[in-house]
Amino acid sequence: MIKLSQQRTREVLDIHGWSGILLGLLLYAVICTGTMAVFSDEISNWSSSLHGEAVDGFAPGFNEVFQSLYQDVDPRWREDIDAFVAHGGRIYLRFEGEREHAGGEAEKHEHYGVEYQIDGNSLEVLKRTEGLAEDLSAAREAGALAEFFVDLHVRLHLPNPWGLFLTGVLGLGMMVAALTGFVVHRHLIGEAFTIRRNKEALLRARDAHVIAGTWSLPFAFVLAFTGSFFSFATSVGLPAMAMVAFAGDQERAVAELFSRHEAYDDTAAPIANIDSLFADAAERGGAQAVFVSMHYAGRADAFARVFTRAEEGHLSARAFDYSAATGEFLRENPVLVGKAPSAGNAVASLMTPLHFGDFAGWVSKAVWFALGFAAAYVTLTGMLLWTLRRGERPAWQRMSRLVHWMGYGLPWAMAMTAHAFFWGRAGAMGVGQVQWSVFWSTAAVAAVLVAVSGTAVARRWMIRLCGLSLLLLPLSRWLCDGMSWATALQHGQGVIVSVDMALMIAGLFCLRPARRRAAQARSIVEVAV
Amino acid sequence: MTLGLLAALLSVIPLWLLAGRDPKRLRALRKRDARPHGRNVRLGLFVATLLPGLGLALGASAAAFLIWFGAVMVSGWLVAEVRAPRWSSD
Repeated sequence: MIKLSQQRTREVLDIHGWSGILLGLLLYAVICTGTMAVFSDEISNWSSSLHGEAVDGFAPGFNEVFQSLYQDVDPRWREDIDAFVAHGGRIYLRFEGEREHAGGEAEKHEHYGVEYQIDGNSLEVLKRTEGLAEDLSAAREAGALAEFFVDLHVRLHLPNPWGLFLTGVLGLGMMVAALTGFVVHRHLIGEAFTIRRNKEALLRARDAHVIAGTWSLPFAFVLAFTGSFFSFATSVGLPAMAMVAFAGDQERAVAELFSRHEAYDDTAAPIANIDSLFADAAERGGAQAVFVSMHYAGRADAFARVFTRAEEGHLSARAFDYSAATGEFLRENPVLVGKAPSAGNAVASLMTPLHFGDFAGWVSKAVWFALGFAAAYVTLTGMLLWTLRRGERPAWQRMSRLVHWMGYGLPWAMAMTAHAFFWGRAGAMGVGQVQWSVFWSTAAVAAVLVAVSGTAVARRWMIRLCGLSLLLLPLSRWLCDGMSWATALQHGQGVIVSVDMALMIAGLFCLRPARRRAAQARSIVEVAV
Repeated sequence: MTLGLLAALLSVIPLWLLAGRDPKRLRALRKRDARPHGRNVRLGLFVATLLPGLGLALGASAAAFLIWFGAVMVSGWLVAEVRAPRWSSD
């Protein structure tokens, strides 16, 4: 047994607490952005909607555009063809192949191709981009806002695979916290309805934290487990499997796991009518086709895999394989893993709906958003309680400032990032860079606010400013995008009105009870100190 | 997915009643005049809360069940917040 002096014990405890809180801060960022990412499709539809009827799936007549663009593209980039519907009714059609590394490194290849952005209504080509795979992704500015939140959630904007490692570890940490919390505090489940608002402030805060934690516990575990799965699946699982079974060749591992190639036949052949494939898949899957992936196009052995949305009442999307040369239906394929139905695929395909909550439209998304909000609330109030209880010590006062900065500054910075998206795009600036600049500038202002005015005042101001930013977002959208509510409703784009209204309600909610919250926060600090 | 939401609404009614006369809650609030639910009533309300979900699990779809479960968890939190006494400054 190591004997420690009282002073040393205190220092070790401080290190323990600080490390826990620092991880908690990152976890809070992951949960906050993940809560927003639940509505990532709606965010991109709202922020980048095309002026026309709402689009759901590939419009009939897409085949003609597809065949014409296929003929235009350099045959070298026809190795893989993907098409999907996203970002306010756009169809993205990507042709991709491999070329020798531009740096001249022998045996090294890089993905290169051409991507078209097509209006889902008029089927008119809006934009053509040619370049490396990352250039093609970067050209999808319409989805930049949602992508910003998703990327922050998935890997905290850190380079791969480090960001995925970190979020995976955070997910595991959250899972352990949920499990141990249940074991240690299971007596608190009996207090699931007890909030003592008539008691002193710290007790009230503790009750609010415990109640939210109790009710969100099962889903906190589910979200943490599935989140870790997604983080580690590609950053650890796939490389490890490729190393063991495929001599480190990840592309071959993916091909073996997901693709099923028919008998080799490189005889030249036309491409089947892609509209017919979509119609057939929609009939079989009971929902719209939204993604197609095609390989060996132009040959007799070409095949296409068409993915449909989850059918009403079901959790998972479905995937159907066709001969891309004749259009003949070949088989239904597992959506995620393997070439035949398996228990592994069944479990793996459950991860997606359980984590994203996207299996039943806005209803399931709203429920998942609320659960994410609860998890963020529990994380933040837990850190606030921890630091407030130790508020008499300078080291913990500094940590309390850090928690306030992250806790209230992050939502404000996220709201400001959305303004940056609209004004950056309207000013024809690089949207990605403008978003980054505004996000970090807001974070810097929040840091100054906390440092100068103290936690209670800074908290009040950050909530107010966040509320104001949210309230003004519909105005920014309307000024930069020009789509009024009347036009949106006329075109069946209810998502624009819904998101605008949700933002205004959230903004008003942040602004309305400012006086009461300020009094509450003051009394908590007074009790703690 | 209205089925899941409807089932959740059905579950919220017993949940609301369960919270109203929860013994620990009443004790903490020092509401000596209010009579807490007895053990059997609490068990009955608890089962009534779960019944719609059980129905979905047995007869309907996994999607509806998940929506019910998530919505009941969120509702439980909201019920606890709403049924707590109004905030008062110290």
